[in-house]
Amino acid sequence: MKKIIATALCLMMAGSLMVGCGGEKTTREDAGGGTATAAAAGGESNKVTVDPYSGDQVKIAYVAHDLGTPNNQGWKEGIERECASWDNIKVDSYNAESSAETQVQIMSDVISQKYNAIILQCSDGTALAPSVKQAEEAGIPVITVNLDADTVHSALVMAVDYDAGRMAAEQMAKDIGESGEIAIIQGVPGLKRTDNLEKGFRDTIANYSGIEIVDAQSASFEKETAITVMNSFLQSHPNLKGVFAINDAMAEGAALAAESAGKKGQLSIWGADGEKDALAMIESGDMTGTIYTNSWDEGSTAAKIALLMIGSEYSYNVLEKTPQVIMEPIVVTKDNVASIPEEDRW
Amino acid sequence: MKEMNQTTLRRLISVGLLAILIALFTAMVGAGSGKFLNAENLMAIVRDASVPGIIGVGVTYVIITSGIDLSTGSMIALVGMVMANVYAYTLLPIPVMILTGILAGLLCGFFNGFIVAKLEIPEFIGTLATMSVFRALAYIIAIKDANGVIMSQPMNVSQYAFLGSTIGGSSKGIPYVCVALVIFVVVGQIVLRYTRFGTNLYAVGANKKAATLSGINVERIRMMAFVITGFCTAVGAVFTTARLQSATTALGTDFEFSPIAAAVVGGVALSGGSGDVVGTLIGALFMATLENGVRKLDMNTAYQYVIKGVIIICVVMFDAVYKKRMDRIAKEKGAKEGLE
Amino acid sequence: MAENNVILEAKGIYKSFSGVSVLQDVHFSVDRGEVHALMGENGAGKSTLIKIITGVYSKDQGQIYWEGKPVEINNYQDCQKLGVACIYQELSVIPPLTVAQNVFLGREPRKAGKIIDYKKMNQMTQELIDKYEFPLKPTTVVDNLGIGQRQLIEILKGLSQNSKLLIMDEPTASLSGKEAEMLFKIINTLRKQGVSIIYISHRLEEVYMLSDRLTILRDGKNAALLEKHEIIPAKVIETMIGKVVDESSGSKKMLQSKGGDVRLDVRGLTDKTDRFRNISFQVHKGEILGFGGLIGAGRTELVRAIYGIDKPISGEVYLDGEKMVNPSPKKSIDMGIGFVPEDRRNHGFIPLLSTTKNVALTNYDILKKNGLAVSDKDELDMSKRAIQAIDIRPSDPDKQVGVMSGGNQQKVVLGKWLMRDLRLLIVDEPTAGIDVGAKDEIYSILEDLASKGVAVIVVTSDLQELLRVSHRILVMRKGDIVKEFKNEVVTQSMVLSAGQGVTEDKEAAE
Repeated sequence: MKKIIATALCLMMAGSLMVGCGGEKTTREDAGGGTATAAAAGGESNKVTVDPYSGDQVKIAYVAHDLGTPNNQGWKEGIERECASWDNIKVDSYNAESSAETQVQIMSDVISQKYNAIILQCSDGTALAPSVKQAEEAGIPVITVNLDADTVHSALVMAVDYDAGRMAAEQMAKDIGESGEIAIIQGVPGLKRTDNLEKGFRDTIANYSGIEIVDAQSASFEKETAITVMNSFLQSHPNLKGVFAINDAMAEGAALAAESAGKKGQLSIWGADGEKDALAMIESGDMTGTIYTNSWDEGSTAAKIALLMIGSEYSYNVLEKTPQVIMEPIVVTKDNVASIPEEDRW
Repeated sequence: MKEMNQTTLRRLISVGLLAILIALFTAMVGAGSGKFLNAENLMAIVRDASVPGIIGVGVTYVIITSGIDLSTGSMIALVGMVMANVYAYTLLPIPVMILTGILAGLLCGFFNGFIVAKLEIPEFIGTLATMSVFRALAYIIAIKDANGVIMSQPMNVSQYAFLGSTIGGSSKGIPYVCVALVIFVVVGQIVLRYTRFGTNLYAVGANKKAATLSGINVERIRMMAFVITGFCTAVGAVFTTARLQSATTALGTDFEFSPIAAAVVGGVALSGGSGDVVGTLIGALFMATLENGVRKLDMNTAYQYVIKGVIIICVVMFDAVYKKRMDRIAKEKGAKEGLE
Repeated sequence: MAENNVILEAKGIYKSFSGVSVLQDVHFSVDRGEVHALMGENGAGKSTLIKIITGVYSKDQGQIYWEGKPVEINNYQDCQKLGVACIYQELSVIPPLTVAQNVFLGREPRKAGKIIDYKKMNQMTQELIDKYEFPLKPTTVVDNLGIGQRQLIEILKGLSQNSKLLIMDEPTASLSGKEAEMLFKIINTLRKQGVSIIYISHRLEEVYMLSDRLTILRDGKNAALLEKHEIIPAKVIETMIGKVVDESSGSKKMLQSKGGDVRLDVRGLTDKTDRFRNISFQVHKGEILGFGGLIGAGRTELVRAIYGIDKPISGEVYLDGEKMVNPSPKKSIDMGIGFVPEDRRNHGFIPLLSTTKNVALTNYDILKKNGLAVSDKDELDMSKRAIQAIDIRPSDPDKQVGVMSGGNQQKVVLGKWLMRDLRLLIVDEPTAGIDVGAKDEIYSILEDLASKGVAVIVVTSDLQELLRVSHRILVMRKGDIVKEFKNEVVTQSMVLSAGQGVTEDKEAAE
């Protein structure tokens, strides 16, 4: 009997494995005609309007993906700076520590505490969608930063993603004379921003027939892991001429690996973000370039929009799609890195 | 004079810890706003404790047999991905999808039990290995977009998503997951205390040789504990994905340790043979309270790990010292009082 | 006795392990309601016989009869089914469960829905407790009970399965006097209720007091079967040791006290858990002091306390007139005390390490250092000196100690102490499990040390060994020093009698 059950279980698993490997996706019909949390869908706006600029008490929650990263720190500071001039505006930061489950818990908590606005960096756009929706329904505008939520909400402030990939690709193509082998160091799969970056890069490179992407591996956004990944690239592809890393931390790792392999300055190494350490490595010639976005500006932009939303009558349910605010990117190379002043380096 | 036994004393300690924590946060957070001690927030804490608590039922069983299961976090991801596949590629009804997920969990548990009890691979190593294997399987069967990039699969039909919500759907209602928690804890505790299987778990954990001599099939009991953990974890995964209305490969990161930590704080000694499901529930509530409170205090979240760590060291130390003391008392009693 | 009154009978049992004969044509039978004692020196074959009866070992030849019918017992379950229960030396109760839960473990009465009927279970346990007059309560959690009561639970468990024969192997070994008395009372009650008991013990007085008959094994053969009135201590001891007592070279010795000034002075040492009390004695420079007595007499505990492993509750220890304050193994080593523990494999050496590392382990304080690192050369030199001094084989200093023979392992343990300036060496059961040739070498090492002025304490249960190496002998019994032999002729039976608590008067009277 036990054996039969075990066999049945095995078959079930194997079945779902096979299903996972191919086949067409199906569309499910929703019996409830909307998500379960759609208590106030399409109905009245629950929004309470207060005016932060005339002294009303206002509190904003910043729900970060991982406060340990320079990016998140940059946004946090940007948000805080923006609000620092008003005594009546309070900013609380929450750290989801890279976990979507934790972030959802924090969101419930923040909603029940009736914050006036939430600035959110989604760990997982799909997983956070119900929470974002719930917040908006409760009259709390949600402004996402870089990482979007899969539901319509007040605003998305983002650094360019697809275009950043495109710009890095164009620059790298120039660096290596439009021919040769290159590789990509990927981040954690499943994040829209990084997927778009990679897509932008790949699409652009496809225009150059002389350039071949010979390898692509994930280093999970980690500098240390990127060193290992880069070492394996260098071993299996001795003719490698360029590497594009989805974020700067991994580009820094790749640069360190190239340096210890005696190839400092010989490879075109590009990152994206523009964090302080990367800029320094570009100055020293270890890294070739990055697509810089000012995180402080991005944070304070998000805060400005939040304050605007809080003070306006405007409600999310008039929106058909999330408005996007795109931060101006700067392509940084050794030639122009000096033009980014110290106070704008995050 | 009647002495308090380990179970009672340990229960007092964990309840005490929880009470102290609640009092502390009420004082510290509530001083300004009364944000901490209100029905809504307490319900939020119970809700956060629910999934670790449900998984904790199985983990409690495993630890009582002096085993350990490190693979529950990865199991959540795998169960989630199995359901996501059914969701995305078939039109099977939602209950069938849930059943498939539960079966996947049972199979994972069965596999854990098999390598640990039958192949006699040490629990720590065995489940450390399956922790990687289950996570990797989740990646392999993950839903990918046209470019082959892994994506998060939405599972937002209301027939499923309601499980992640509250009874009645309002934000002040009782979450379904809390109802499940109560059922799991009550049933789990009854099984533990009032069935042969439950007694056998203690026997296996406290003294395998004695258990064998009493005619207990030690192998089967250990295996069952892992299978039940698989079941509980699958149920936990159902509620997690329902709340997120999606499944990703990153699900359940950190979940390896939270049910274990809950059990340990709640008085389930890692050496086996003691503790119960109610204890684990208290432990899970303690952890959730800690996280909630630290968040409200605007403290660096890293502090919660320090506090968790310190508490775990303290309770484990207490268990060790207590055991030593009891062994000594057993001898001294014999020496001084004789038998009466 | 009538034939139908015999509950268990083993006839013509033979057993050998890898060619070495352990049991030869052994006969053993137990009557209904009888306490039948089984005695014999270590290695006489008692435990082998019991393991054959309980199905742990298979027999080579012979037949076992249960209530007159021939039976095959292949495992413990078989023997349980017949109605035999073994009360294990290492307790097999489950501490977190109650008395009743333990007694009915795996056989709990249940209500509908597989729910355990605790009420009924407690009632059933209470009935058993009442019937056999046990001082227990069904609902007490075992955690809170003393060792003696835990043992009673085991007995109760056996009785709950309607066992007709209980096997008790050294049941009083870890019990206090009062607990033992309680056990004896229960044994008498059981006997009245018709339960048979096989009682294995080294303690003659218990056997004398409790048993209806006594079977003595010697060298794997039946040496005697004595009826109650025939159980005479002196005779039993003689039978156990063998008829050839006075001819054997090792069975008799003229003790001669040796040594100079007092080296170790122990005053009124008392153990926390009462395993020894108010112990005072002295050891002189160059003297080998032997400690005799039964296993569990408190000798090991005493020397552990002197070395500083366990903390005594009161009493003082002086080494060369200097009081030892807050003793610990580290302090003892610094003061020149060496200790060779009883459990060689677990406490004496590290099996996976080489001779060199094992010898160096206790001697890092005297090894030369290059900066912070120990000089490998010095380490190796020391190991070579040790190998040479006491002829450790194989002489390869890199050999793992775990794979060596018992004798050479013990030499490594001794060797590491020889490399130090010792003032006192304590050895506990120095030759247990070691072959004869190596034994002699170890004795000469000890004598050699003594001749250099080291005081040596030897704890041993091997009577021949005790007589062979000691200059003076102290005999312990139940935590007290009961006898000192010095400057006189001493025989094995004198030591054994003292350890058993048999007085010479008794011996003379018989």
